Amino acid sequence: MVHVVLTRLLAAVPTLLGVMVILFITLRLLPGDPTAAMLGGAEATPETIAALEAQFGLDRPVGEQFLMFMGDVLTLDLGTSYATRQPVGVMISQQIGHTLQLAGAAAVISAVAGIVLGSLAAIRRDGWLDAGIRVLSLVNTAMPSFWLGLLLIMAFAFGLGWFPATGTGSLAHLILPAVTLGLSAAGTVTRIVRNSVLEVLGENYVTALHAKGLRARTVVAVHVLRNAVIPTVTVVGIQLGALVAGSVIVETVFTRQGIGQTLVQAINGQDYPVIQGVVLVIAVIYVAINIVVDISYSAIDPRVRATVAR
Amino acid sequence: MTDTLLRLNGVRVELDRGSTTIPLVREATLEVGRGEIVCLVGESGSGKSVTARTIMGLTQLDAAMRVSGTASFDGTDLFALPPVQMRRLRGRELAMVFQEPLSSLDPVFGVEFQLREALRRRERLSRTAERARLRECLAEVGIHDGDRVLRSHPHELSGGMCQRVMIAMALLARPRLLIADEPTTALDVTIQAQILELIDRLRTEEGMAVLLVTHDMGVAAELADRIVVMYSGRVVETAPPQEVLAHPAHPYTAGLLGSIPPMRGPRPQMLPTIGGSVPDPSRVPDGCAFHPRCPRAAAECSEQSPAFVPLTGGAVACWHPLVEESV
Repeated sequence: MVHVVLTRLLAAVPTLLGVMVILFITLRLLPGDPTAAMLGGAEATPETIAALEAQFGLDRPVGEQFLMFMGDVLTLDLGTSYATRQPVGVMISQQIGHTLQLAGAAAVISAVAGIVLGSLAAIRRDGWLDAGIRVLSLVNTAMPSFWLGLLLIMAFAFGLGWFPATGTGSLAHLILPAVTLGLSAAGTVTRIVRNSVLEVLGENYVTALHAKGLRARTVVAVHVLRNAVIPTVTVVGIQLGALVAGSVIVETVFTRQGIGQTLVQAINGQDYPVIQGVVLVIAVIYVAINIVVDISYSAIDPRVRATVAR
Repeated sequence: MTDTLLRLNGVRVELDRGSTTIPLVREATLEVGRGEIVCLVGESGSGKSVTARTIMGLTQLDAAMRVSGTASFDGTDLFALPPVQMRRLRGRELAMVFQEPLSSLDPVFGVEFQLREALRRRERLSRTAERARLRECLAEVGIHDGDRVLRSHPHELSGGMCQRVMIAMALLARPRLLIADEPTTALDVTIQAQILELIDRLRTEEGMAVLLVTHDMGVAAELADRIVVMYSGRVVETAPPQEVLAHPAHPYTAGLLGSIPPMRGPRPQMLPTIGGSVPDPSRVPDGCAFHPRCPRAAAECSEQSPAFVPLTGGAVACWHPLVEESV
């Protein structure tokens, strides 16, 4: 087991390195000048600009900048924000809680909605309920989350006044963004669950379970779901990573605090260290979730447990 | 027969494909007496398994299946029962063992959990009493390291072991009728004999009736009190094994017997086979479905379906049976 975790961790290193190389190059290919953004359009002498560039190492060749950055990352130092002059690590740690809360709540919503709707559709295969759920999940998958967010704000914040439209803090503030983000993933989860439940329903052991005289409800709730959930875990896990990334959009729509907001502000201000820091953190979360997903298989499926133990 | 436990009469099973219906079983008529082993024999695609599943009410779980005819089980028509009551009979009065033991057990649950589920359909015991009962039941099917098997998951057991577990599961129901659908087809030859011997022994000890589905005429001849031969969805001959072996009436039965190697004497270079194969259920020939493959086929065989006529100890559906009719 320890061996498995270590191998997965090692395999993650090139992935993260790749992310950073691509990000670093892309940022520096983008038009614009971080020093201009730092100065906020104020007049400055060439000397001031040169001093700023020297302060942040922007006068060095890109290769050297990258090596310096990687060296800092290895010592867990993500650098200093050009805009706020705060350490990036501190900025992220102040904001990440909000984002994880949002992504976590959204993951629960998408998993619950996906599993319930997906299994209902599979059990009522080709009926009107199935047709309805399939259309709904297709529409839902095609619907961009910012639009869904705006619709929800119009209906539940401005229309019914049940929830605040924007802001961070209470549970009421969390609900609309979490539903928006959760529903953006629910369609995919629903379709995967439907397919895997249908597949399991065709297995010999399902017939054998009916032959034992178990209630149809028991057969589905106890046996079919547990078998069908194995492929679903992968999807929910990948979705969870995507949800952390997707929170960038949702946080902007709801002007909610979080690393997504931090990232958008940093992009607007060409605040390289913050952009790099946030993207690196998102990438690490993504990789970590994938490792957890891999390990969770063995908790669900005894056949995998046997191979892992070997 | 007064001691009939199960009597199927004109059972027909059709798959509704919207525009067409495909008959999977065209006419299954058979009887199983109390404590009797009846073997349902035929090639793949003859409708044996569908018949077996229909008795269990499993075919009917699929909304696209249409079942007609009657299945009288101890006086109750199974097909007339509401699904809830049919379900209550499963795992109590009726139990079933399947062809592929490994895939018939849920892979993610342990053997103990799955056996407990079956036991709880029959009786409520304390956890320790349950465990003792499970161990006892495993011992009955020849598993003596019951504790290890109870702790195992299906993938950790051999096919033969899994089939024993499946049989134990069926026995926990203490059924009056056990339906075994090719229980040994997926197993090694040595294990096959053990499993069949086990079923035969349990039949005697528990006094339950067995409907054994098999494609192996040899197995049927050895175990059966009565043999029922099915072809292309229809029962074509039923008779006690000694009758079937000595004088098969239906040319199809004779063909099945011909493809068993003789026990004594020189082995033929090539075993005789029945040419061709079972017709697709959606394209069953008119008349007797066997006529395109039948050496005795005559004009009427391709026109009209032969009726079921009684013979010594059984009955046959054939225009030109191999023995003289004797009512």
